[in-house]
Amino acid sequence: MLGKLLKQEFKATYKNFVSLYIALFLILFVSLGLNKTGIDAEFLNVILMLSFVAVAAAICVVILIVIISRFDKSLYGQEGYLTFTLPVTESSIVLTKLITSFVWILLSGMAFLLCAYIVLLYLGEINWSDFNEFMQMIRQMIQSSTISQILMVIAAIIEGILFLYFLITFTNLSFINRFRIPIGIVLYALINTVVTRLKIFAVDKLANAASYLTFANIELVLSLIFIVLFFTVTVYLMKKHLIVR
Amino acid sequence: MEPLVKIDHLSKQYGKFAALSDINIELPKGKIIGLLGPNGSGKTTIIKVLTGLLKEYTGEVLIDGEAPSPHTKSMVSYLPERTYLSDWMQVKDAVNMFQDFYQDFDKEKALELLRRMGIDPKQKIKTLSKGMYEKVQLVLVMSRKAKLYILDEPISGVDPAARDLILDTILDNYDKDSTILLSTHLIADVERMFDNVIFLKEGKVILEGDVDTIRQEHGESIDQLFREVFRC
Repeated sequence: MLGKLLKQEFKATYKNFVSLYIALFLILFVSLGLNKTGIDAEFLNVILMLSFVAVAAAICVVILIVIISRFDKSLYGQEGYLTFTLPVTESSIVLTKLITSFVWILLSGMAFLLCAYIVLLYLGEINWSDFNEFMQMIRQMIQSSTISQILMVIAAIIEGILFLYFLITFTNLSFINRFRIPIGIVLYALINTVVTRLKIFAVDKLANAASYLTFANIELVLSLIFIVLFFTVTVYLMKKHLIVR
Repeated sequence: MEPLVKIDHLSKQYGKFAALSDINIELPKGKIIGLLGPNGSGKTTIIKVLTGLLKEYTGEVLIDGEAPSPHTKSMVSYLPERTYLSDWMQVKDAVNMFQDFYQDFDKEKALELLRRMGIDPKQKIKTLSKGMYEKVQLVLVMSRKAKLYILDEPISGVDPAARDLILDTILDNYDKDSTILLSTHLIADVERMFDNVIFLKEGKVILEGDVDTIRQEHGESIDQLFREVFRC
């Protein structure tokens, strides 16, 4: 059933992202077109940098909105009457949402980098010192990353998504009838503070105590613990305390 | 014969408000049962427990001997009072979705019913009128060969002509060995369908039984009895 749920979820969400990618490539081509108009290269450099920062911000906002609204609407809105009456387990529902969100984050990141790469390829002869240095830095970071550093980033993304799912599920419990969004924001701030301090504390106490206790390894293990925690609690709340209004 | 649904001492509180108080009901197999009561009497709460949309309650609920679970959901075909299809869908997407998830779903039957009702499978869900939307959901639900059909207020808010079409669709398409639990407060239109009725008032069962027996005992129709019991 997981495959069928994934199929439905991708069908429900792909339009948001395809339109975002189209916008991304449109900005790219408009920027490339500007180059042919003979505008000063330095000025063009600034425009392109600003465009890419704006697009990166837009991608982050769209991803966040889709992750939150899709989970909330399809489970605790009217669509929940269908989602929760399908013959599927609660864990497969959460897993489906998690996988699709993660895939869209990954694809969005790749689409953004691809755009940046095309710009560099096409305008290679222009002195894009700032932009080139930035891309060079990213390339070097990826090349020099250890597996645990890459896994740490992946785990942090998954942890972030599951944290949001937990908050949405919690704020939809039967005893919270009003002020769901403010309660969610306060809870987010509180739990986020606790989690961050716990991680800082653990890194501070354990880092370099042994050769395998690197910053990345400690962060990775802590993220895995919180992944299991957020996933288990979310599924538990759905199984035992669900109410679709 | 073992009942299809067994509800034992079911209670549900919303804060200080008792939505259900010690409900004991058995729904036999192969019957059409009316769950009758005014708004706020607890009909939808019982339905939410049976469909797994409400997990916090006391008491025991068994469907074919099992507590509500993914497996019982595969036996239950549920028509909610609300619209529950996604805006991005065309009608055919909803049909395909039901075919994907429910082994007992008959796609050919669904397409034939849609054709008869003049609904284009390529039409977008969000462009459907309220009446058309309700018909699409009814077609999806009645194209399953489920053990239990739960229909929550299927005729409220529709015109009399559409009511007949909805009721005929239900009667023509349900599996005769299955049980239908139909909740409504519009008794006159559906009384002819029922084998059994359950009267709910303020979260309690106040009358339950075979329709013919109740009519004989009280000397009036179910609709008349309903108006008498729930007179304000």
